[in-house]
Formats: sequence, C-alpha cells, structure tokens
Amino acid sequence: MELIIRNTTNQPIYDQIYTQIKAQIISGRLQPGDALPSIRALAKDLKISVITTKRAYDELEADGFLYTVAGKGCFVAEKNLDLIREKQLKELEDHLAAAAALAKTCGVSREELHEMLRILLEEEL
Amino acid sequence: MKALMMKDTYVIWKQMKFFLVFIVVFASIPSSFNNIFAIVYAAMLPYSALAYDERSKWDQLAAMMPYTTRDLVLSKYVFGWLCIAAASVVSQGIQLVLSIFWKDAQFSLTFSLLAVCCGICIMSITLPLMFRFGVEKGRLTMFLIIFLVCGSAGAISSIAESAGRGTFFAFQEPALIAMLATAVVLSIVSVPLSMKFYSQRQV
Amino acid sequence: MNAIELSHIYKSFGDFSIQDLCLTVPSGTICGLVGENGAGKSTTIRLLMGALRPDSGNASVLGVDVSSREFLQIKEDVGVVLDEAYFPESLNAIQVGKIMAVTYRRWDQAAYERYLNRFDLPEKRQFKDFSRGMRMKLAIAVALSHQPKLLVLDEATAGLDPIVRDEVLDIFNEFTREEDHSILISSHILSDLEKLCDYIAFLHQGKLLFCEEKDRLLEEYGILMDSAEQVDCLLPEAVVAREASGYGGVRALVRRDLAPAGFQLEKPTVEDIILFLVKGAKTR
Repeated sequence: MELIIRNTTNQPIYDQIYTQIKAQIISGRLQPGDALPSIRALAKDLKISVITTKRAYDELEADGFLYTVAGKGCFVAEKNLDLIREKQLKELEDHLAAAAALAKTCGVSREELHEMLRILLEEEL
Repeated sequence: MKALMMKDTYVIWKQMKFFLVFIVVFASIPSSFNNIFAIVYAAMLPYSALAYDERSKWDQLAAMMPYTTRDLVLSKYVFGWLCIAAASVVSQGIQLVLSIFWKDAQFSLTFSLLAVCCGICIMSITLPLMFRFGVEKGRLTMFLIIFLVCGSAGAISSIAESAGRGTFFAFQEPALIAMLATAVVLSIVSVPLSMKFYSQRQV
Repeated sequence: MNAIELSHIYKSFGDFSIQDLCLTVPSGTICGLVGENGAGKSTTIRLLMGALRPDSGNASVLGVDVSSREFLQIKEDVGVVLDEAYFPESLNAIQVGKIMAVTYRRWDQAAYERYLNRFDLPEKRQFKDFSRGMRMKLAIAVALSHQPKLLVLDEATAGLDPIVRDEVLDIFNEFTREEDHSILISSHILSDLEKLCDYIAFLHQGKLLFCEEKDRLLEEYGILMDSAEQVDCLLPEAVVAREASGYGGVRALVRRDLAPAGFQLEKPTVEDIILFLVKGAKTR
C-alpha cells in the first residue's frame, strides 16, 4: 500500500490518508480482504499521531471501505456488496418513510402499522 | 531497602576505604580512647551519604521510584549501625591482637560497647536534624553534638582513669547498662521522628 | 483507563500557584507539556507522581489514586526522567544498574546494557564526569529498562545533540507502539514535541490554557503574512495575535474557521501557535 503524506498542501493529514486509501480501494490496488496496517503501526511508521490514523480509519469504516475484526486488525471491505447494500438500505428506508407518511395521512396508528408489518413478515416466512 | 544501602555503600566507597586505613592507624595506638574516634567517624558516614544525595537532588528522583519513606529513612540508620559495628569490630580486633603482644595495650569489651552506644546515640540525634534541616544546616549542629559527646566521653574517661582502676571498673557495668538503654530509647524515638521530618519535606 | 488523570489540582507556594489543573492523558497516547520556565511543568510532574501533595484535587496514574497506598506498586510501571534530579554523582553506570536491579521488580539488565551501548555511555566513569547530555541518556536508559507502561519525562531531550535527540525521539515513538504504553513529556523544544506528540498541553503561569490534539491544533490555525490593511479586513476574533514587521507588513495567527476562503494561509508550527497564543494572552 502506498501512502504519501505531504506538507505542501493544506489538506489535513487524516484527510490525506482517507483519500489515498479510498482511491486505492476503488481503483482495485487494494483488494477486498487485504489486511491494512493497524492504526498504531501506521502511526508509528509514518511518524504521525495515532489519533489521526484512527480518525482516518474510523471514517473509512463509517463509509464502508474497511471493517475491523477484533484482535485481528483492519481489512478492506467488499466494495461492491457494500455499495449495493448501502443503496438497498437507503431504498428500504425510503420505502418505510413513505409507508409511515401514508399511514399518517390515512390515520393508521403506529400499533396498527407495526401489526401490518408483523403479519407481512410472518407471511414471508 | 537493600537497594538504598547498596547505593550508599557505592556512593561513599572511597571514603570508606580511607576510613579503614584511618581506623587501623588509630587502633594501633595503644589507648582505649581511640575507639571513640573510629566509632564517631562511622556514625558520620550516613551524613556523608545524605550530603551526596542532596547535591544531586536524589530525593526528588527517589520519590518517584518504588521506595517507601520507611525504606528511605531506615536505610540510612541501618547503614550507620552497620558502619559502627564494622568500625568497632576492626578497631577492637586490632587492639585485641595488640594486647596479646604488648602488655601496655588495653582491651576492654565494655569500653568498646560503650563507644558503640555513643555512636548510636550520636546518629539518633543527628539524623533527625539532617532530615529536618537538610545537610548544610544540620552540619553545624552535628559537629556540635559530636564535640559534646566526645568531650564528655573524654572527660569521663580521664576522670575514671585518674580516680584509679578500681573506681573505673566499678562504674563500668551500670554505665554500660545506662548507655545501652539510652541508645535503644533514642533510636526508637529517632527513627519515627526522622520519617516524619522526611515526609514533611516532600510537601 | 487513562494513563494520567489530574482533576482540579490546586497547589500554591507563596508567589506561584497551580490553579484548577485538569489534565487527562488517554492510555496509548503521547502528551506534550509545554510552557515557559516557571510555568509549572516540573511542579505538575511532581504532583502527578505523588512527590508533592496538592492543596486540593485528585491525581491518578494508570488508574490508581496517587495518594493511596497502592500507588507504590504503580511506580514500578512508570519510568521517570527528571530535569535536575539525578543519581548521586559518585556512582557509575554499572553501579546504577545493580541498584536498579534490586529496586525494580522487572529490571531488564540486558536491555539496560543495550542502551548503554547504543548511547555510547562509559560504564565505569563517575557521573560527576558526565556531560549533561550523557546524564540524560543514562536516565533514559534506566527509565526504559524496567518495562514501564508510562514514561514521565521532564525536559528529557534538552542537552542532547540533534542526532541523538532524533534517535531518542525514535525510541519514544517506538515505545508507544504497544497500545497500553503512554508518555508524558515536558519540553521547551517545541519541534521535538511536534514530531512526537498526539496531544499538546500548554501551561502558562500555573494554568492549563489548553490540551488539544496536535493535528487538530495545526488544522485549526493558519499563518497569514500580508499588509496591515489586509489583516485588518479580518474579523477581530479571527486574529489570535499579530506581529508587525515595522515596514507595514504583519504576521498573524488566524483561525481558519473564522477567516474567509480567499485568504492564503500558511501551515503553522506548534511553536508558532504557542508563541502567538502567549502574545495574544499578554495583550488581552
């Protein structure tokens, strides 16, 4: 993995790390499942603060680009699946939001809505 | 505490070697009075170690190491007692040997024990003063006390000698018991007092 | 668990006092303590190691209250290097090693000897013949050789030549590769702290003016070098402090979030920030 920190720009260090790792994941230079250096190791090797590397990794994880396995380290996430999952979750949320709005306009109470959902889920099973 | 005594030994090692020569020379002079010098010098060795400590502000560093106040204070006492004992043994050893070859030389166990008690008493008075006022200020008081103790010991000794052998021997036992008791009592009072002064200095 | 926690510490000494000091050093981080001479750095260190008792407030190190009996054990886990307090000067390195071996439970003689070698320290020379830099190196060697979890360093790099200083900073950096290892280092040499620290804490006349993540601090401010008129265009809150060149130009420390986008701001150093903040505090 290539990671070059530059002081020639005004870009914050955590942002430089975030951007560079993200770019390498998207371009495929970093493959899903690849192990990334630990937050501490990266900080010590680059001679920067662990708080900064942690911040970069936290943001990458929040955006779905990497995941942490307790005791083992950080790994590149499956990008396609995650993006899709993200889209799906968004869609689901939208649908639910629409259902909630509709329920409100026709006066369906919260309990009734929950009941409807429960029945529908049971039918699925 | 072992660590601290080791440190003190290393710190004044050169002085101790010089001291050894000093004892040997003085002990070779036939006079039981010379014991006192060796013992008093030994009683001053903890002060010497303290002086070196103060110069490099060791106590500030020691406060951050795993030593208790008890260790830091008691180690000086034990160090002093051991020095006194060693000085006494060497000095007496030489006098014993000499008394075998020369009829003039005297050997008196009682007298050497008296000297040891003197040394312990000196330590018991000077160490708390050192811990309370620091080495510089305590120094004067220390010399004063040593002067007093040696002076009175010398005075008593010459009185005893001029009063004749008989009186001298008669007084020995009660004098010894009194001195032993004094030494023990002073030590028992001195150690906690020093610990109190030491911990107050930190604040 | 925090490596160090000072909360509402008050201590006064006649003409100087520490007021309401609250400092937290999270485990696994390096905190730099900055301040001018007499600001209270050494006092803070003595307070946090229990060598001084505060007038009020609490201090705890590695989770243990400093005034408790259990703290004695914790001292085994703390490596200390002090500015003006050393081993008695008639000792030499070998003797110190032997003394420390009986002082600390986890003394690592092999590690100590490796450091002596690495720092080129003569084994049998007495400390009174050591230069200041050599004394520091020895103190560092001792502090690192009993497997500590926390290093408390008071001006540990002063007196070292730049090459050795760099090596020592490297050693400190490596020390915190373990996630339960932390460092509190006080220094005048701001460039050292800038390389090493995660947090910068600024002590000024007994008060902690701030304790912030170093990188955020560097992101928060920028240096503007321009004419006085240009600098006057900025909001007064945006300008922390300024210094005039005497020829119409001004160098100012500016808060990035309060400065309009058009202004070209230079990256500041920790030194810049501290100096300007002090200046700003003085004029206020």
